[in-house]
Amino acid sequence: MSRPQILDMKSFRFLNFLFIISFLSCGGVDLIDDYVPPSLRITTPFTELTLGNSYTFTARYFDNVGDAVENASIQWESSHPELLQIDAQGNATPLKVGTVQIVATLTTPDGIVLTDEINLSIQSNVVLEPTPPETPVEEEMEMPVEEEMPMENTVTPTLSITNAISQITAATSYQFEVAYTDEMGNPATPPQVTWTSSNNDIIEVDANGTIQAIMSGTVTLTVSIQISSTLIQAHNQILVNAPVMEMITSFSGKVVSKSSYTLQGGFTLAESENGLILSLDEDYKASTALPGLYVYLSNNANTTAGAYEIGKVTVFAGAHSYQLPNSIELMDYQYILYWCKPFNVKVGEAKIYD
Amino acid sequence: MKYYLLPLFLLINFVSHAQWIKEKGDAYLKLGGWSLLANEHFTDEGKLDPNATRGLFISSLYGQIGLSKKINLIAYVPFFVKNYQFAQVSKTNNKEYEPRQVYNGLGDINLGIEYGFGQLKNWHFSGTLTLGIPSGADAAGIDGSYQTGDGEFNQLLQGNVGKSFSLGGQGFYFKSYLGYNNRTEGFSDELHSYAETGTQFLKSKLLLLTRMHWIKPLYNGTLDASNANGAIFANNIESLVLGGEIAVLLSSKWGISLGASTPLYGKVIYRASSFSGGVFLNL
Repeated sequence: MSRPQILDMKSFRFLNFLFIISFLSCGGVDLIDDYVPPSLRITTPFTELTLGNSYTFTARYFDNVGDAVENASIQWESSHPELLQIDAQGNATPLKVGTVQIVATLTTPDGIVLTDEINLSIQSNVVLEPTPPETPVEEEMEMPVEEEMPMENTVTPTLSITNAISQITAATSYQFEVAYTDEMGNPATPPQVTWTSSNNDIIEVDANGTIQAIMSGTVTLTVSIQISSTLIQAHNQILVNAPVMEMITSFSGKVVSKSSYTLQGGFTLAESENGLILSLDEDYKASTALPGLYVYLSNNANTTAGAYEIGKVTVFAGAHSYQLPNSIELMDYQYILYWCKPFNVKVGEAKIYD
Repeated sequence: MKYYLLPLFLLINFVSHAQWIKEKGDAYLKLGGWSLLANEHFTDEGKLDPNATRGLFISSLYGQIGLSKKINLIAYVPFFVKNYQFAQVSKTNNKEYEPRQVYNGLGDINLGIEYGFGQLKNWHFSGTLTLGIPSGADAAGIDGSYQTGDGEFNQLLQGNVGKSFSLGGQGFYFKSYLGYNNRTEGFSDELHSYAETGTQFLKSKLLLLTRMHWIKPLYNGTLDASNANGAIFANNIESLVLGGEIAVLLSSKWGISLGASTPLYGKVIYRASSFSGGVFLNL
């Protein structure tokens, strides 16, 4: 007598079908619409340059998904080479006070020409004295010799600094010029001049009268010549100011929701001594209904691929901040993204800069 | 997000084709598969948002056994749960950002007992207590979001009512319940409401039924994104799901069934139709 059969062959086939479906049902692909226009971005956000200094500009090329392309060939151009020269490596030297535009250009592998521009103001690194002192100091060394000079045909030689300054910016240089009149009262090339600084830690000066301002402080610069037994000198008291790098150091804006979830608030991305700080304002508010809400910095608002993950969101209302590592610079990313990481859902974004 | 599925487990699998409580020694067994694939969801405000395509496939065993004339034991065992996500690939350059993710595991087991209160005219009354055993993984997969369970022990107490009736000479049945689901571990408690009606054709060999299931959270839980680690999509789920099923008896003891359900409205659940199939035995 055979055992009663609860499931026949048809049933087992159906069950097999279910299990086959279960193992095959996890395939598939989500295509992420992650195209962004390729871009070239000058990442050194100078706004003002100072004469006597040199600067290195950098730019980065981001491809059509926002990924940075290393070692891209970038050309640099100055709108006014007479005001500012820039070489192929982005090293710029301001030559004159004025306003200039630097243009970075790159041709993509697809033949698309990308440019980015930055407008700059070139400022002088010194403050000229309004009335250059022309008070030669005469020191009598040997009176008997002077008494023998023919007084009626000679005058006292003079030495003066013709481009004296009252202030200079540290870490810049300046070339002094002098004027000399000889015993006959005629302008002449001065004999061997000697330049000295009262404090070489603050200003160094070479034999040609070129000074290099090193650090903040006050210095008396002296130029002197020896005429026979007479030492003639001119002085210039100079205040050295600390250098001020005129750059953009922060961006502010608004975080907005790009989904049906609550997300809002102002933000500031600012430089600090320890790296960038991303601060969210008091009006910040985010939905607590999302699992795995993360915040990112990205160059593509459509994906977190290639983005820098700041971390999981743990504050959902009110002011708070994120300390970013020193390796991240202000211009490295264009967007702040809020993303539901487990389910790849874009929640919101903020554009850091255009 | 998968946790919105748990109420559907109850809906799909805890409904036998037997209309009323089983007699002593009778049993209903069902081996089933249930599948869902979704690329959008209802948000916490009931609005629709996209998401990475996620799927869930559950192979389960459901059984209802009559211990006595008035007492039935009920068990739902999702013995194989596949939680998966499609690969994420760039449309621009075909670069794979994230490979497909899959997690297989045991789901949350439900054990229940139903007590028949009796009959008043054509109305049958019973009560059911279902215990949700946290046998599934509440954190699974690469980022913990491929859970197969919610990690909490819940108790669903429901009052059932059923009635047979005739329309135009065609026999129908109707059954419904109201339930209170007491959830633990900071999850909000829930009210459950369910209604089903069906009719048979071909000498009772073909059953067609339709059902509706409504879940309303009481928002008395404490879990949210600020204090939970990924499990919050199990919380404050609200849904109104419409479904239908066709069951065919292929012999006196066994048959097959196919069903489909779709959410008409919801919060914190996927918006996608689910499909199910199974083999059932009436013993």
